[in-house]
Amino acid sequence: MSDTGRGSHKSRIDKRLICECVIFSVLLIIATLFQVSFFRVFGKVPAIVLCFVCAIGFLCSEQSGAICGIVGGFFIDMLGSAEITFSPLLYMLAGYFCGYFLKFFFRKNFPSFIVYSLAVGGVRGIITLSYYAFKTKSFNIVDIFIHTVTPEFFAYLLCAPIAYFTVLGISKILQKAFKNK
Amino acid sequence: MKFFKNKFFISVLCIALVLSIFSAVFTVMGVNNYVKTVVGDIFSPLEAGVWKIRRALEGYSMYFSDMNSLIEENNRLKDEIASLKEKLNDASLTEEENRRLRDYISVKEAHEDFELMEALIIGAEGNNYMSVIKINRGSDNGVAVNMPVIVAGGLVGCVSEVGSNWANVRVICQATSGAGGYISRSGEIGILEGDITYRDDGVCKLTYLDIEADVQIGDTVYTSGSGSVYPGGLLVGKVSSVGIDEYSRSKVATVTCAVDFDSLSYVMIVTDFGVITEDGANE
Repeated sequence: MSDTGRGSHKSRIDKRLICECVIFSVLLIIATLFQVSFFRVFGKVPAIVLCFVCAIGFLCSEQSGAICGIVGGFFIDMLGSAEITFSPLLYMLAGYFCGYFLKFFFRKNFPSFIVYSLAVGGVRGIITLSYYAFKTKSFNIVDIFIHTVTPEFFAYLLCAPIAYFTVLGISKILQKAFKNK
Repeated sequence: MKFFKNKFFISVLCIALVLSIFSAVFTVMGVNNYVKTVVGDIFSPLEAGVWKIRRALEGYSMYFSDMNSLIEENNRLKDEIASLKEKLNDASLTEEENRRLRDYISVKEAHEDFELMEALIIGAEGNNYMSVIKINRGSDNGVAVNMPVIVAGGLVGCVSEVGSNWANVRVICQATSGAGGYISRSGEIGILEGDITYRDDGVCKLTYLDIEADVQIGDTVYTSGSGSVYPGGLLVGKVSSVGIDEYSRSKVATVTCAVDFDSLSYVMIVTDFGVITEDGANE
């Protein structure tokens, strides 16, 4: 009996994971469309998809975060960039670790998410700097830091609350739906 | 590093790596990425829709952002207009000054013996047509009654009243004016008088001409220099009609003044000139 119970619980989690991934993938596609053709904050395109992936990992689970990270990264690569960005890998890692580290550090609330966002934004800034260092011949770190990394970082931070509350709303609806079932 | 033992993590890591490498290889090789093409084909209508939304919102927000820039531009243009107006004003003043100096030089060249003083017109007295004009020079500047007043175009009149820093000039067509005049073509001499009938038209009369005098319409009339008010050789105007005075049995010609008194803005006062003596010498 207990085995059957554990199995049904597991299958319910899997179902929920699948459901979450499907719904959030649709959300990520919309976010990708907005990122590649709509948003510009401080003259820079904020990584709104990355915000959503982190929020999914943070609010749902590291599994959802990782899968949605792959989906989001894949769509960003397909629709946006013409460069080598390794977006599926980076986004997957971001989504996964946002959920994974929550087990050890902080609680699941908005201020904690902002701290995570600061960390992710910082890592993104380092990646941007490295990208420019690799790509640009006359690499001026101060110039790139002032004109690219800083606006990108703040644009990312501005989008973080939008992603957080959107994902929070959807995950609550899903939670209710699965509780009722 | 527990997560490296996690099967799920390893699986998704592998998938993510494969996808990333797959995409990177296509990009490096410059080969057409079919997956990208297909995804692009599927999502391009959606992208276009989102782009349209963005343009629409941009247009709406542009109204407000443009408003600020328009206000700024408007202020800048207002400043520019003010500065250009100032420059234009300066230029017109310079032009006016230039014209006045040219006139002064031309009068000085024509009458070397004249001592000239410039004066601005500051007012006018009279009815529809100026008959007395007020100038900004007076006794403090050495202006005295009966000094002739001229412009480059000809005779204006003479000073009739003097204040310390102003003077009134009685124009030649004023009824109380009088001066010796002669017709340059025939040398006929007469008396230039103002006439209340013609005053408003800027016309005066040349009277006391001999009944046989050779006077024609269009003849040029100058001051003769007789009397001590006006020097000789100042252009007065042109004969516009010729008739006979029934009372004095002499010819009378009407002379249209060469100077347009209405458009005057400055004049020149002849403070001194060489008087022609009876034996014809200049004093």
